[in-house]
Amino acid sequence: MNQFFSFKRFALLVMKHWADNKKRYTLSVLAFMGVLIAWFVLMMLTDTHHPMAENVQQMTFFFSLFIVGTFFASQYFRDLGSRAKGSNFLLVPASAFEKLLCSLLYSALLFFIVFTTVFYMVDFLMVTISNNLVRTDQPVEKARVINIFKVILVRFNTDSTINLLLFYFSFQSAFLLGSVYFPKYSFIKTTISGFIACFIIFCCMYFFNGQLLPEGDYVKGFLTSYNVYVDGVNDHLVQVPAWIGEVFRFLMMYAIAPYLWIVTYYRLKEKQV
Amino acid sequence: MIRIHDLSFAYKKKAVFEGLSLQFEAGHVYGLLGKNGTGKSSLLLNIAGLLQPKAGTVTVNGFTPFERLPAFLESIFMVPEEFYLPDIPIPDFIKYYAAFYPHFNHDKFKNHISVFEIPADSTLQNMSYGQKKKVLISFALATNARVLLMDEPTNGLDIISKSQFRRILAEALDEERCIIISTHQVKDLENLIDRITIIDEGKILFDENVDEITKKLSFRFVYGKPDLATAFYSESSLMGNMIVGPNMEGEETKLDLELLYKAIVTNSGQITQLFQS
Repeated sequence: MNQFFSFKRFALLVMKHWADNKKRYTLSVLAFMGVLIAWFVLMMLTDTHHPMAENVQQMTFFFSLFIVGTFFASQYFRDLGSRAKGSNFLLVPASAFEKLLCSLLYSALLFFIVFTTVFYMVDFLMVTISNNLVRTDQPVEKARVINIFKVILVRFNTDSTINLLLFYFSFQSAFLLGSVYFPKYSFIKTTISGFIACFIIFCCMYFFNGQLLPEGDYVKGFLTSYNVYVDGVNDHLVQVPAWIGEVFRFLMMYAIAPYLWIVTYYRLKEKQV
Repeated sequence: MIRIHDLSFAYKKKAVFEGLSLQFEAGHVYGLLGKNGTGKSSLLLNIAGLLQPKAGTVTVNGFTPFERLPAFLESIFMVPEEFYLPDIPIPDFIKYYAAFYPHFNHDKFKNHISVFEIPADSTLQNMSYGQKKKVLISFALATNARVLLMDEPTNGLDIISKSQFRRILAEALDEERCIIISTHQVKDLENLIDRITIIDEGKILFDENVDEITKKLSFRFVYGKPDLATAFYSESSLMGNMIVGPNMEGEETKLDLELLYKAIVTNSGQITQLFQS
C-alpha cells in the first residue's frame, strides 16, 4: 500500500477523529448557537430602528469566524503537547500527509461549512423574528440576510481587492501551524508570534522606505508605482510591470495558506514527543 | 529484527545515550532494567519512532522508525507508561482503532478483556487507570504487531491483574514477535523474560539470556562465611543470607531478577568478567 497516501487509511483517520471528538464538537456547536442568538437578541434590543442591520450581521460573521476558526485550528494538534496523547496520535498507522489532510478537512473545510450553516440558521431565524416581532413607534428598516461570499472588506489597491474569506484561510492556517509548533497555549503564542512577525515586517518596510528609497511615496498601487519627489514638477514615477503586482496579489490571496500547510506537514513529520 | 547501532540521543543538552549498540530478535521477551532516568523509556521511544536519534541508526524490520511510515506503525505497538485512551465505549474504540491494524484479532481481544474481567460494552471514560491499562494491553496483544514495546506494563495493575497479565502475555508469545518490557517491577515478570538487558547511565551494563545467567550464576540462601566470601552480592534476612554467586557446581537455581539487578549494579565488573570468560 502507498506509504504517502491511501484513501482507505485517510477515511479511517477521518472516522477515528470524529469518534474521538464528536461529543466535544457537538457541544461546541450548541454553545456557539446559544452565544450567537444571545448576541443578536442584544443587538435587536439596543438598536430598535435597525435591528439585524447588514453591517451587524457582517461584523458578527467575520469577527466570530476569525476568533472561533483560529481558536479551533489552534486546538487541532493540541494532543502533541502531552506525551501520552502525542504518542497516541503519532503512533496511529497513517502517514503525516494523511494526518495533515484530516486536520485540513476538519479545521478548514468542515469547520467552515458547519460554522456558516449554523450562522445562517441563526441569522435567518433572527432576521425573521426581527422583521415580524420587533415593534416600535418609529419606522423600522426591514432586515435582510447577508451574503457573506460577496463581502469584500480588504482593499489591496485601487483596482483590486482581497476577499476576506481567502484572507481568513491564510490566517487560520497560521494557527494550525501554531498548534504543531507550540505544545502549550498555542492560541496565545501564535497570536503573539503573529504580532512580532508583523512588527518585524513593519520595521523592515520602514527601514526600506526611509533608508533605501529616495524621498517620495507610493501611488496607484501599493509596491508597484513609486513617485520620486524632486521639486513637484520634475518628479519621476517609477513603475514595475503590472504583472508583478498581480503576482503579488495572487500570492497574497492563494499562496499563503498552502505554504503554511506545507510547513505544517514537515513540522508534523519531524514532531517528537 | 531491531538493530541499534552507535545510537546517541540527548534531551537538549542532557545526553542520554552515547554510542549505544544493541539487537533484539523475534521470539524473545526482553526485560529492560535500570535505575530511574537511565534512558529505558527513551530507548523504547527511539525504537517506536517517537524520538529522533542524535546520531547512529535504529532499524526495525528494515524500517527507520522516525520516518513513521504507515507500514512500520502497523507492525509495532507501544504501551507507554503514560498513555491516553479516548472517552468512548470499548466497541467504538475497537471499531475505529482496530481497523488500522491489518492483523488485528477481534476474538483475541474479547478473550483478553474477559480474562481481565472488563465488560466488553463499558465506556473508557468511566474506567480507572488500571482498567484502561488492561484494555490497552488487550488491544496491544490483539493487534498482532511484530514488535511490542511495554513501558512499566504492570504499574497500576492489582495483584490479581498482574497474574492475569502474565497469563495473557505468555499466550501471546510466538516466534514472529519481539516483546520488550521496561520495568522496575521485576518480580511481576520474572518467569516471562528470557533475556535481561540492564542499562546504566546510557550504556549497556549487562545483556544476557536467562539460560546463560542461570548456568553461570547461582541464587541461593547460605549460612556460612565461606559462601559469602565468593558471592558477588548478598542480602541478609532472618533465614540467613541470600546471595548471587558464581555457579561452581552447575546446579540449577531459580533466577531472582531483583537480586541479579542489585548484583550487577553494585558489582558489574566481576559479573561481566564471569560472562566474558
